[in-house]
Amino acid sequence: MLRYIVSRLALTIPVLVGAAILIFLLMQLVPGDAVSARMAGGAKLSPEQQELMREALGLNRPLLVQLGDYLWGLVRGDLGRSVSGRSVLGLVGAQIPSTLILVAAGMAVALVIGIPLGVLAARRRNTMVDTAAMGTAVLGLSVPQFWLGLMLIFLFAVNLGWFPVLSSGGFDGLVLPAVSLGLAEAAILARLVRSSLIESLEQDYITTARAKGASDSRVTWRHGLRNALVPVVTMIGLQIGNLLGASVVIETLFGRQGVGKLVVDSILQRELAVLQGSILILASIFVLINVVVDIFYKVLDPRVKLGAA
Amino acid sequence: MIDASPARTQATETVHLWRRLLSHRSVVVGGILFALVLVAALFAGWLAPFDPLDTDPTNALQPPGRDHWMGTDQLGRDIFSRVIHGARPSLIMGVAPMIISSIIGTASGMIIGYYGRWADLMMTRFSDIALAFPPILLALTVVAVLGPGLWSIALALGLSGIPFYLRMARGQVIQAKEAPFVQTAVSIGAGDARVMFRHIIYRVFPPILVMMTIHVAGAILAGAALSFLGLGIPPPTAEWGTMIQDGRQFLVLSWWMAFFPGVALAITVFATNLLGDGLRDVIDPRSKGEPIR
Repeated sequence: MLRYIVSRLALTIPVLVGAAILIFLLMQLVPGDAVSARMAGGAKLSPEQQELMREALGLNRPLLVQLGDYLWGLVRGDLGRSVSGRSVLGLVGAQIPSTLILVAAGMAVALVIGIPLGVLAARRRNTMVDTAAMGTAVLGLSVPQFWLGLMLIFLFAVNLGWFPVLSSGGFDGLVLPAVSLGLAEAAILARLVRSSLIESLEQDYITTARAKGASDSRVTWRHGLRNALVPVVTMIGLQIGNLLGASVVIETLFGRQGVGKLVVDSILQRELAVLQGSILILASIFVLINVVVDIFYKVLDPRVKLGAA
Repeated sequence: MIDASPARTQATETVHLWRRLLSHRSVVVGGILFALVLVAALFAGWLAPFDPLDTDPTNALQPPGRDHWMGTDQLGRDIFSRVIHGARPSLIMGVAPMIISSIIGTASGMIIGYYGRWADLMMTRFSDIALAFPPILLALTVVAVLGPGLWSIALALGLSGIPFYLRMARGQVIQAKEAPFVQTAVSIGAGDARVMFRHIIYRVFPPILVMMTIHVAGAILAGAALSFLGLGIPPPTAEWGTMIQDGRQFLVLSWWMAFFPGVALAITVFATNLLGDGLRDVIDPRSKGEPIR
């Protein structure tokens, strides 16, 4: 197992290096550079001063040299500096816990709603309950998260006053963003659990369990679901990626601090170094979470080989 | 006497497929809803009772009523007319990325899957890298490069969707390459292009078609989200994501400003998802495609 973990981690290195190069190159395509961004931010610089600053920041060097410098900086944990001169790593690092808490809460909402809904639909397959559950799931998939969040704010924060409008710290402020974020993923999980459980319930070992007198609930929850959850674990890795992506919109909507909000703010304020660092950190979190999911998948199903998960 | 000519067999299969599609509840309901949205997008000028850009400050923030079925916004513009006109940019944001991704992704996936070797290795590594980014983040980065706007969003979402098609097409081609009907075609001297575009394409197309439908739904949602963030179509053009953002400012006073564009958006995506589900059930029941977002 240790060998698997080490190999799996080693496979992420070229992906992360490639991701860093891709983001670096994309940022080079943005019109203007760090000096023009500072001028747009209010700094008054003469053409000579601009040139000197470009020289100091190394922006006049060939692209490959800049890329090498950037990658070497990453190895040393240096993501560059914002227009105001602050460390990007410090800026992004301060926001990571808030985003991770939101993503974990969204995933919890998805699991708590999605798995029981999928089990219910599978146990009552081809009945009205199944149709209603799956209809609800498709609807859940179709509702824009930011609109759902807005409607939840209107209902539960503005009208009922149960939760704050803006998501400051604390549990109260986490509920509405987590529900807005998690419902669509709950819908995806419900559909997957249903189809996976139906497949599991048709296996021979289920017939054996029934023949031995196991109750319907026991067969479903103890025997069927256990196997049905194997593909669900893989899906959870992808869903965390969806949640990280969607956190950009949800954090902005609820005014919640986080890397997602930092991404949007940095685009609107042309803070390219911060944008570059934020996107790279989110992608790295996504890649690493997928490694954890793969390892967990391997624990659940020892037949899995490297690259197959 | 039975006519078993290939043309007749293919025609019968097509008729059979259409029958199955038209008797599938999701396809019918999704199709009808999507057709309604399409009609709204195509004939917005005739269907909308007011000009979507006409302001009338004396009628600002009117609740839904007889004159304005969905109320008015802060400038007195008719929300119903704006919702109808908003269908067009939303559909463009859904369909254009799908066209970009599916053409580039499927063609390159088929070529690298068929020829393999270094091109395959390079492109799969590249798609591994692209898939390291949640799609909306990659799209956000591309929008940062291109600047806000409808076509920027369409291109951004189109580029971020390519790896999904590439992987799907590549996998299908690798499987199909070994199939007896392909081997037979090769053995009787069919060229590479003929093998790919006359034989293998039939194996590749069904799952790609399902992915295309699901992609449209995801792209509409992602496009609206980008517009909501202020990176989409600038005001005063009627677009659902931007309208929801406008409504956010007036949520306490006039909930209808954000409510109705959201309902229109949800119905459009719901229709597309239903169509995608139905298509998958009928033409590619083995796949378990989930949204590209």
